[in-house]
Amino acid sequence: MPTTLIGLDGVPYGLITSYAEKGYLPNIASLIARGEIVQMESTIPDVSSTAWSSVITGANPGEHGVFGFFDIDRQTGRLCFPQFSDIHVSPFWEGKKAAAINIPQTYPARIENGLMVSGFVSPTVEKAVSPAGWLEKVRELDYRIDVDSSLAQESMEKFLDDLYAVLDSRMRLFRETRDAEKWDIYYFVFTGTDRINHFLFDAWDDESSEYHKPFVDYYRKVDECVGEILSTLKPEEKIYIHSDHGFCPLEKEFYVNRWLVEKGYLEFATDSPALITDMSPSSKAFSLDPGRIYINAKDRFPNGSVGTGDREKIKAEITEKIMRLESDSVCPVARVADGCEVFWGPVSSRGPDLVFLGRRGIDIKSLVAVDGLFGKRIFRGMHTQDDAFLIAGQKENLPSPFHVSRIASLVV
Amino acid sequence: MEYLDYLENKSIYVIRESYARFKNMALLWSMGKDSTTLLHLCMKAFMGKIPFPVIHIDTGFKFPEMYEFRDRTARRLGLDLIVAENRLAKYRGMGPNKAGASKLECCNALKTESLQQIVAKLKIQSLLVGIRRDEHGIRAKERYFSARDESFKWNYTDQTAEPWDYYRSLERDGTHFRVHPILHMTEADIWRYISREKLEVIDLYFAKGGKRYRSIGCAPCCEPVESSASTIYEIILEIESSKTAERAGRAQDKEDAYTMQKLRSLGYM
Repeated sequence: MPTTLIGLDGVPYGLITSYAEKGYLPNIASLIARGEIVQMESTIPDVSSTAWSSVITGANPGEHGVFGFFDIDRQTGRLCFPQFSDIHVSPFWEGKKAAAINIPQTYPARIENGLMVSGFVSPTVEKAVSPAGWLEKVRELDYRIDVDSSLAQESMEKFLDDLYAVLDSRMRLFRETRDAEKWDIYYFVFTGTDRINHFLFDAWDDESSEYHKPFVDYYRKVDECVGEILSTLKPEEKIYIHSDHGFCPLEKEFYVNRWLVEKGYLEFATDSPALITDMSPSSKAFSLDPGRIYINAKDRFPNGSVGTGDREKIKAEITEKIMRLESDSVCPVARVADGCEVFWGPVSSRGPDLVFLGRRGIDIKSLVAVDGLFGKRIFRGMHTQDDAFLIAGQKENLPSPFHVSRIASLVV
Repeated sequence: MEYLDYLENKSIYVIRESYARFKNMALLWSMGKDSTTLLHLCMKAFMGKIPFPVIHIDTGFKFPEMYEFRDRTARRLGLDLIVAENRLAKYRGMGPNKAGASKLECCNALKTESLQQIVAKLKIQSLLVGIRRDEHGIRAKERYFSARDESFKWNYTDQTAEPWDYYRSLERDGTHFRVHPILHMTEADIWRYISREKLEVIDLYFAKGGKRYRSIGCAPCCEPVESSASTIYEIILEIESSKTAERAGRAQDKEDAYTMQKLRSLGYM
């Protein structure tokens, strides 16, 4: 049965149900009325690259191998960025005629039978379109893969204008591709929702905020676009709309690498470190976003210092110490997930030893150029592992909470 | 679980699954490193005695080392070895240097047609083949259980996905299945496995005089590559570093810088 999937990156269940009830999202609300909506859990860690890789493969990070947007290369010790070609499991559309448009972590594009236009992070358009025959068309449409988020630093108005410009270009691509072939699977993702959430999520239900109206207006516009897609559905077609993780307002950021320095696990080779790769080889542990803790083991990293025997000991020490940390009489970390328990599969040993999940409102960041343990920058929203959503446009009695890695099973 | 154990388990599962589902099964063995690894996995799957024929498609143009290795290994392992050849084509003088014949025509006559003849003669329903997904773009589209129609054609747009080890292996009349137990292994995986299992491979793979063969087949059509890798360990290093080199060029650095800037604008790193 042909299936259309619409992704709304970073949209929480709480927001979608509230806005639907208030009448801000008429198209999504009528789809919920026809079918059903369930809350959904994301992957650990709750970052788009990992979550989307699980969505499209139905696999655990230990199986598909994407644990974040970046890693430390085991051979060179340098930063590296996992690509779509590094994913160890085939996407669920293999063997079908599929369009996969703007799915994060699918660069460089590669599809055997259909059309793929990669999503965030795609450094070039050339390698973001497969088959290459489509490249000229995509260029003609003046298609934009992502908003320029750095504009938010300059002016929120410019950032908002750019969000709309990207959304318009995305819909041009939709109109061009929707009926270009008889698709078995048509997968179309909106990522502007995640971007606006990062900068303005505190305004989502705060009517006194100057950005409340712009925030709601953008969601109204996205609903309009969703409505346009829904209007093209064929009677026999199944439809799902879903997000990849939840979101909540950000109160402050917790700089976990700084904490590792204070506790003596991490040292830098320079006085003003810019990146985690500036750490000195004697370091025992370090963190990569979001909240991934790696023991700097000798058998894992070229500059490793910890012997196999000490790895578990250090893991236990770090877990115990972080749970004792308090800020405003609460621990910033709500849960410490043990990599051995949450990752399974052939490449699970490449995953982090521990994952810190932040308390609601406290975003765990791996930034190294910081002075204190806590801080706040321009960001007003943060990801959550719970509270993603899944809407089925037909009654299916989905279990709740659903899990992002089970979406594939609904389609195959 | 060890990574190599995982790869091995997956392969043995596919081999046994195929054996349980099809009446007439055979293994295609070219004596190369991949199909020799597959041969070893079949030995393991059936506790040291392979209960089906092992077929070598002999074009008559293989390296002498390959024939010697074939006969010695077949004797040592007690294989039911069948050497298949297209005698008519050979009689008519088909070969890589035959005037007026292209290399493709030569391959077709001496390999494909020989295989068609033996599949029909033995009524083979499933054929184990040692191909890997990372070998070539087209092979990335392959499935573990891959149907072939009456004319041996593979229709890659008409295949089901194989998530969660769920394989389509229902036979249709007049067709046979190619079964690919080592599809998930990479070139480096194969060498690591060969090293761990201490398998014997033909000497041509190891560098002599600054050159070695990365893959072997018919002698007139194989070109050695420049290499100083004379041990398995050096071969693995060579493969992995050449991969790094591919990705470490200028273009990649530029892409990485862009990616880093994008991630930073969203608060990461």
